[in-house]
Amino acid sequence: MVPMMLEIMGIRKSFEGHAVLEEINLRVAEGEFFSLLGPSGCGKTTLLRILAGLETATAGEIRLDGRRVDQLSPQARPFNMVFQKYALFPHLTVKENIAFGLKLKKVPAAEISKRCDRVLGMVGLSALASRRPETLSGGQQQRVAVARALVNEPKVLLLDEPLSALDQKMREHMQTELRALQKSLGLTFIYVTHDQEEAMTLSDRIGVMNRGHLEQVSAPREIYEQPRTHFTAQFVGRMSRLRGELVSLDGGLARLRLDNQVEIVGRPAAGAAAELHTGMRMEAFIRPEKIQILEEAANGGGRNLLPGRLSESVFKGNQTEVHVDVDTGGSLLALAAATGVPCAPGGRLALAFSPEDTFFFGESEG
Amino acid sequence: MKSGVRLGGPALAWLCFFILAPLGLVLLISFAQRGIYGGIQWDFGAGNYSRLFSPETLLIVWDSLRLAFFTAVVCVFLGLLSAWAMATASERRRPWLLGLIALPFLTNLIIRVYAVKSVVAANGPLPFLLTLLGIEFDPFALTANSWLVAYGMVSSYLPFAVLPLYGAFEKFDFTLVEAAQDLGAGPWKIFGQVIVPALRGPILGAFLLVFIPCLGEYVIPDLLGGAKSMLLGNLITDQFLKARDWPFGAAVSVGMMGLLVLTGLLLRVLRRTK
Repeated sequence: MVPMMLEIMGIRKSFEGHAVLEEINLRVAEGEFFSLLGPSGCGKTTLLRILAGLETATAGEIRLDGRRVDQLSPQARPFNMVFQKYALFPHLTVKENIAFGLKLKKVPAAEISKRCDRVLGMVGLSALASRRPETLSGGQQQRVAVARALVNEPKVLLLDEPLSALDQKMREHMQTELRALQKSLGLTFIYVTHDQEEAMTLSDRIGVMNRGHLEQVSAPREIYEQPRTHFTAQFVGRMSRLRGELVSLDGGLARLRLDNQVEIVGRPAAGAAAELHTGMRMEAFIRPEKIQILEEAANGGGRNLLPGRLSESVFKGNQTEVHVDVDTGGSLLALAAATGVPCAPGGRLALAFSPEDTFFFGESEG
Repeated sequence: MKSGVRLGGPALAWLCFFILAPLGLVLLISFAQRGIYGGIQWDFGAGNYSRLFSPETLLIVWDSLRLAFFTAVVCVFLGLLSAWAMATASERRRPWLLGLIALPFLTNLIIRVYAVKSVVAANGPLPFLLTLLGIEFDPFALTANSWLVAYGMVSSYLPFAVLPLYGAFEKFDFTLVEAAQDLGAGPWKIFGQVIVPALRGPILGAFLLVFIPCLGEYVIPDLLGGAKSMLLGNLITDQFLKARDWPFGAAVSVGMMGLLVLTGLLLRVLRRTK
């Protein structure tokens, strides 16, 4: 196993009696690109600011390679931060901005210049070294902010929604650049974002946060394909949902009775098995792309099969969103290839999805 | 543009009539001579201006510049700290702090100055306290000295520095402070290398806002400084009210205006180059 590098142990934070973070435990390995993903107000930025030392935790410890760092001032921590709005010093040139940290550490001038030039080269801004930040584009300012943090050779780079102020195209471009930079330097990144696509694209692992706690910490694919909690399931990606009552539990699979006695089979949420009991209300989640659209009379072939009426289809270019009012009540979203909508709105069809792709969560959760 | 001129017309007329015309008159008088009995004798010459460069007048100019500069620097420094504290205070507390800063404005200047005077007066609380503590002091030096003048000036003009700086701090991006902290800067480095340079414009503005009225101030030095302290403001007042030498008083006024314009230009250059 890779030796753990950054350990966050039992971090709590409350503001005026109101808990913002409750018991955060997390380990981030050296060289890992770790994202904290969650809606605004979930505490992800607070956690990052606690790591940076800009806020103090109410309880808990932070260790770096086994040594406590949470008692150090922000100045003394071997972490550097990239701020959401870049926070570049307006009175300094690009190069002076980058040199700021090194000058404070009394690094010899010749070495400062050398190191600044190197990071400027890395982020592709060598030609703009003597410009003022306000004369640069958003993407360029963003690169300066990253360079200003990187030049100090931090053990961990903390990034607070660094791309949220950029337009879509620039954002995608910067994502690629950041990822390449992180891989080539082998640096540990802790990246805060509310954009799940961004988190999916960039991260080695993602910590999904909600209301001050971590819902799930897994690799992107696992977060998407094996959501462990109700919140993760509904927050990450799109889901089609059905409500029903748990009728039986059999090993890894369970049966849910929908409102008009139709039953579907699926997997109950991992980790919640102990609390499951028959008769409880549950919600089923299915990824739209895992739902197959069939003709009404078709055979599901061992899968869950729900007949219904097509209420609306929305052309999205590479695919078509198909909204189906199923006979059991409720509306399901399925995706069809651009050419594959079998009937006009109002027509009958059936939806098939396998138990493997059907997740059951207690309704009260999250 | 045309309608702008028309709208500004009344104000412009007011300006011409009540400010520019009297200024012209002052300029005119400054080239005239004092009559034997104190009137104005319309013999034109630059004699009043050459008197400006006499050693005793230059000393007064130097003392005035020194006091105004000292007051402005102290006000800007204290103003920065208090404006910083105010801007970072909680939303609930801010209006109260703002009110406290503006409080002196609600009291008459003379009353404020006499309040200071009464504290140090021979039978006031400060001499009483000093006697009680057994500290020896000269009661005459205590009631009127240049430190008292400086104190009076700073306390009277501090709001002029605090208010514009508070406005600047309200718009200030405090993540710059966090970024500096993150990069290893302590509080004084942050103050000197981030806040002061980023607020250079407002700081120069606040400096001028204090410096200009201070250079012509005459009430505070007169009441707190005693007979020994003669400044530009007192010099001008005395020429008009006591010496009855209007032409020289006018010449000193013109000279002071020149000095202020020069200071303004100097600061402008300073602002451009850095």
